[in-house]
Amino acid sequence: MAEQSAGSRISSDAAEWIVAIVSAVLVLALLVFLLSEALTQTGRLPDISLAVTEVVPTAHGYNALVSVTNQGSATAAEVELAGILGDEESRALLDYSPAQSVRQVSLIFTHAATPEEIQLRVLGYTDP
Amino acid sequence: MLHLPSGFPMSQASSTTATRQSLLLVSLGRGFGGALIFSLPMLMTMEMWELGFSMDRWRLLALLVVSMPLMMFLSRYSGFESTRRWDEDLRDVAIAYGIGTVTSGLVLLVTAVIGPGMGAPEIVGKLCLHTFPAALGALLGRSQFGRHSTDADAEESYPAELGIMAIGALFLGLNVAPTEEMVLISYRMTAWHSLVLVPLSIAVMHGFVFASEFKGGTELSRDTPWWSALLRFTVVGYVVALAISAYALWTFGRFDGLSMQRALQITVVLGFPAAIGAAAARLIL
Repeated sequence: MAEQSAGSRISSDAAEWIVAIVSAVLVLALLVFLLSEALTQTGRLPDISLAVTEVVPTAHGYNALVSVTNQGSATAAEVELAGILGDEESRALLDYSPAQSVRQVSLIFTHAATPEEIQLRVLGYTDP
Repeated sequence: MLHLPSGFPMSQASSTTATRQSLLLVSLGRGFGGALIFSLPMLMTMEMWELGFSMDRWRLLALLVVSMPLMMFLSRYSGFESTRRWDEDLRDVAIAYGIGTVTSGLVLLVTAVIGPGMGAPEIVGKLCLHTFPAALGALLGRSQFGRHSTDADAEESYPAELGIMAIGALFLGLNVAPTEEMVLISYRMTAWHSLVLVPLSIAVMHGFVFASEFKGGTELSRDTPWWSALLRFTVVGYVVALAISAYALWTFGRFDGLSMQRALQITVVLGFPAAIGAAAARLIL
């Protein structure tokens, strides 16, 4: 161990302990957070809702941007979505819809439409 | 071209030009070796290729900027030469980036991950993303393969120990951080699983910290009480590992659209290997 003067030794010790205590508080806070989540939100189903946020004209058609929100406390995998506009149906497959999170999906249509005209539904999903 | 400035301080025994050149070659060789060992798992990971063209350019830029001070630090403690001046560290870091770029460029080219028909943004993106781990490996190469007994050991201060833990966390964490498995594991785990994983990570870490108590050159000695080592090294090291994990996951876009709970759970998952890397680094580096 390197020799240090008494003064700097004490102040660096104090700094070490401050860092140590702050870290211990952070880890405890993490554990308390996880515990509260474990007690309140374990083992329920995904709860997926869909909404068209915008329809953007592109070279390959009209791109309906769909936000996929999972309000549940379980994650859904391979979520299959369908959008219906008149007699046209478009589908997309989403890898994951994580619990309490939002994902963005594009459905492509050949006709222009407003977000309200497009009907959306979830066809199915699997457990991750 | 590599060029050593005149007046470059070396040990007295190696004052002739021939010896200098062979020393430089050996140290460059170690650099290439380290770059390969550290970056090959990432160069051969599909998610890393995709990130090369899909990841946010500002985050890629931020990664390159943030990596500079980290590399400077690493150069101070285990660079190509025993450095004591910042300009020497800067030179070593530049060499490491050169080795990193050449190594990852060659491997990406040979494995057809980059090639004709791809746009410049894709090629440059892949190269930039892989250069940081390869350069980190190049710098580490020297300390892993050619330990000098005289350097660094004398000045292992507390911040330096934390820095070494951060690099250890990067070493193991970066290998798995880009993979989809991190996200998938966290989706499969419940909060109860995470509640077990956090104390488990800390316990395994403390085993490594305890093991390094009996190795010379650390701040700990036999008469340090166990709770002191636990608080000052293990718990702080775990928080450092979590911070590194969170940064890596954010950089790779794994937090996008996620709630805080989910983001924390992925961080805890990646925090496990990162914590072990952090604790082991104090034994190895």
